Formats: sequence, structure tokens, C-alpha cells
Amino acid sequence: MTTDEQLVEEFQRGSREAFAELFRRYRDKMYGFFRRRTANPARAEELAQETFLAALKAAPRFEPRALVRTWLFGIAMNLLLADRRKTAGQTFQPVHAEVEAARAVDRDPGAALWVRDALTRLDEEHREILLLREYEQLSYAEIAALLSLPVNTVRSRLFRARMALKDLLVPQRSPRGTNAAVM
Amino acid sequence: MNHTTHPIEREELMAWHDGELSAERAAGVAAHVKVCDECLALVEELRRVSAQLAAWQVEPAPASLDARVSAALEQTPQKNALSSPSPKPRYLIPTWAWQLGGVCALLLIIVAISIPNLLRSRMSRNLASDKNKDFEWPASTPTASDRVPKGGRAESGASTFSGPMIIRTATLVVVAKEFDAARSAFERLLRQHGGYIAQLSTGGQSSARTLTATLRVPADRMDALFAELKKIGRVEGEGQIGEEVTQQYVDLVARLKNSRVTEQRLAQILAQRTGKVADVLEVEREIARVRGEIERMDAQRKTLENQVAFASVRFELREEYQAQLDVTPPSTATRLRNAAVEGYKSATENAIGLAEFLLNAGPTLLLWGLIFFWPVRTIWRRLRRAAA
Repeated sequence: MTTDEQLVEEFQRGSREAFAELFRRYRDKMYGFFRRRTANPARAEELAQETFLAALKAAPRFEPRALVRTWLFGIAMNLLLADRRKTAGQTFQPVHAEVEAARAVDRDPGAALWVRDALTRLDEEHREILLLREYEQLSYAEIAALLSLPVNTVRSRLFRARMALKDLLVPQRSPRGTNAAVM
Repeated sequence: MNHTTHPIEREELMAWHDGELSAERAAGVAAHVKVCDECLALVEELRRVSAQLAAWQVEPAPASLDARVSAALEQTPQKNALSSPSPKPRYLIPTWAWQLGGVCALLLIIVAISIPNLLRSRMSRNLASDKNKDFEWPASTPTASDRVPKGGRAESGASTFSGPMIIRTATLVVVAKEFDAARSAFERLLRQHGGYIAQLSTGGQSSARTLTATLRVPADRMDALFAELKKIGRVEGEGQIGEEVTQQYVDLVARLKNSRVTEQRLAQILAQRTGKVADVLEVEREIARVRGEIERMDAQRKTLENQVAFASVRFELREEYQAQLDVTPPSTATRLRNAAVEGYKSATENAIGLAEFLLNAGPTLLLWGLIFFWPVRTIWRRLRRAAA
């Protein structure tokens, strides 16, 4: 299988198909990246598009020293931060209301909603590292490069984030007994 | 789990769970987990958290996402990349080489700016020393008034001065503790050296008096007087100027001589008059005009000679300020008002000073900031990456 880096090199040599293949590989990942971090699906789609357009523009200057995956998520992260600055924190919407509404009618809010609710309760710096590790499957070194942090810091923050999340996810199994089968 | 004495750190256990350890270390941790219930429990917890997080799945990207990206990709000319230089050769020269080149270029610019200045100052020094070589300074006559140019004054035999004509002017500011004693000493010294006061004025309050005088002293005594005046108190400032007027003097003397010859010839014509009365009157008018010129030039010559013979010293004597005990201190209101005025003045001065500093140094700081920002940022990032 052709690696991502080889695809970019082929694109640099003039192959449009190589970039199209790269796009196919990452379109859902990029959309997922923004979807989990923005409240609006349409905005997530726009940002994913912008990421690929920026990558298309920057690909001729791509240096093979870095992984394409890290490079793409780097572009995405920059766009996300710029978007957050513009929208001034209207990004990670709390979902407590949705959870409470579901529980009010004695309905299982659903595992996904529980997870989202727990994630909103984490610190920003812990949440971002946890998301990059769990959903984008980035290595510690890649996260460190992306967030400009030392690897050890990433490791310790990730550990704290997981421990905090473990505690936050406990209530869904205990208080009412109705949500025990979420997993 | 007691994680101070436990052989495996909890974070390391998590790194093992994430596949982030080296093969050797991972094997060690795996062996430990098999025999340690606490570690196994933690790993299970981490797995459970990951599994719970996996419950949040987002829908696949909508098909509309493809449209714009495909359109942009279509607009990318396929041959463009082929015809344009491949990006690889751009990195044949590594980034550090560019940075090094940039620093070298910067140094070259600095050298290119500073070397012409150095050369200019050296050239002017050489020119000054070449100019000095035209003169011969007799070692036995250190005073400036005795300096004789090598081939300078042979033709000025008409004048009464045989050396170069130099008008010397000096300035001296002296601060003395005992004003009255210093003033007496100054007057005594002036008499001793045969000088006189051309102008004198005094001023100041009782605790900070000043005396300003213009002295005239024979040129050959000036250096001695100057040296002794400096001993009166603490010298706060001094300066000397020597203006050479040899050319002007020689020219004046020559014109004077010619005018005298003309006057003599006109007098002879008048003595042997044979013409009409009108001609006689014309000759007399001419004699009067020449006589006037002679008088004027003679006065100029005398003034020049006087200026050369007597050096001019501007002497300023200041009494050292001594704070006096004020028996009637100002009222509290006055003091408060004065303090407010002083405070306002001080604040204004500070604000203006700050603005001046920013205007003065701002562009330079900005320039150096712009030059060094990117290299420092790059190095800083590399260091951080290396530390990570």
C-alpha cells in the first residue's frame, strides 16, 4: 500500500490522483476531528474543506521530514484555533441539558451523550490531548509536536485526563441503575 | 497502588497500554502486569475508559465535502507541478544553511556599513598629520604664538611682526569655594601678567555668586596666566581657539604701502602743478580719498596687531553652591503648591523622556527585533523539540 508520504510526493510530481487518494483516506477523519470539536456540523464540514484546500495549496512545499498525518492535523488544529478565536469559545457545547432532559423522561441518554457530557467537564488542556489520542489515534510524540508541548507533559496530562474521565463516567453506572448497560 | 515504591509507574503502564514503550521495556512491563493485580486492574480501567470513549462516534463526512475539494483539485494544473521545479531540489540546501547564510549576510552588511566610516576617520587623521608635517614646531618654544610655518613669513618684511599672526581666544570656567579670595587672586594674577579687564560683570545670590570677565593679556603671557587661573578653583570648562590672520595682515600691509606710495606721488604732482585749477582740485580730492583709505587700513592694522599682541580670555568664576539655612521656611501651602508643580513638571518630563526614548530607540529595536525574531524562534522551537 502506498504510504501517505509517497502520495504527497506523487502529487508534487504532478499526480492529482495521489491527492484525491489522500483526501479519501482522511476525509472522514478530518470531518470527525472538527465534528467533535465544534457544535455545528455545517461548520465542521467547512473547516474540513478548508483543511484540504490549505493542504492542497501547501503540498508542493511539504517536507518529507514530518508525517503527512501530523502535517494534516497540524493544519486542522491551526484552523480550529483560528475559528475558536473568531467564535470566542462557542465551540465545545455543554450537553448537560440534553442529558438531564433525557433522564427527566426516564430515558437512557445514550453512551455517546454521557461521554460528551463527561468530556465537557474536563479541562481544555486535558480534553484536547485525550481527544487527539482516543479519536485521532495520534502518538504521544505527534500530539507533543502538534500542541508544542514536551512528550512527558503530554503523557502526564493524558494520564490525568483518563483518570478524571474514569471518575466522571462512573455515575452512569451507579445512581439510578437504569444506565448500567450503556457500555 | 503505592506508586512511590511500585516498580512500574502508572503513567508508564498507560504508555504500555498505548503501545508507546520500546519493545524491551514493553516486554518488562507485560511480564510485570501478568503477576501484579494492581497494575492489571489499572490497565483494565484504562481499557474501559477507551471503550467508553469509543461509544461517541460521529457520522461519516457528508458527500458535499468532496465537491469543493474536487473542484480545487481540478483547477490544479497537472503539468504545473511537472514543469515547475520539483520541491526536492529546494531542500538540497538544508534550512540551517539558509539561516547561516542569512547571519553571514547580516554581518557583511554591518561590516560594509562600518568599514567606510573607519576608513573615513583614518583618512581624515592622515590628512591632519600630513597637514601638520608642513609645519615645523620648534621644541624649545612650546607656546602656540611662537609657532612658525616652514616657508611662511619671509615675504612679510613690511610688517612689524616676524612670526605668524595668531589671534588667541580662550575660555575658562572655574568654581571656587571662597569667592572673595578667588576674586582677589584673579585680580592679582592679572596685574602680575600685565593684563587688563576689558569687561567684567558679577551676579548671583549670596550663596552662589558669579563673576564673568573678558580679560586681555599679552599673548606670550597667556599660557602662564591661564595655568595659574586654573589653580584658583575647580576647572569646570576650558577652551582655546587660535585664528591665524597672517594672510589678512600681509595683504593689509601691502595695500597700505601702495596707498602711501600713491599718496606721495600725488603730493609730488601737486607740488609741481602746472595745469588748470580744475586739475589741481581733482588731484587734491584724490589725495584726500587715498589719505582716508590709508587711515582706515592703518586702523585695521593696529587692531589686528593689538588682537595678536593681546590674547582674549573669557573668564568665569562661580562660587560653589552652599545650601543656606533658611530662617524663614516657606509656608505649608507654598510647599505643597511647589511640590505639586514640581510633581507635575517631573511627570511631564518623564512622559516626554519616555516618548523621546521610544521615538529614538523604537525603530532600531524594531529593526533588530525583526531581524532576530525568526532565527531565535526557530532555534527555540528546535530546542523545545529536542528537549521533548
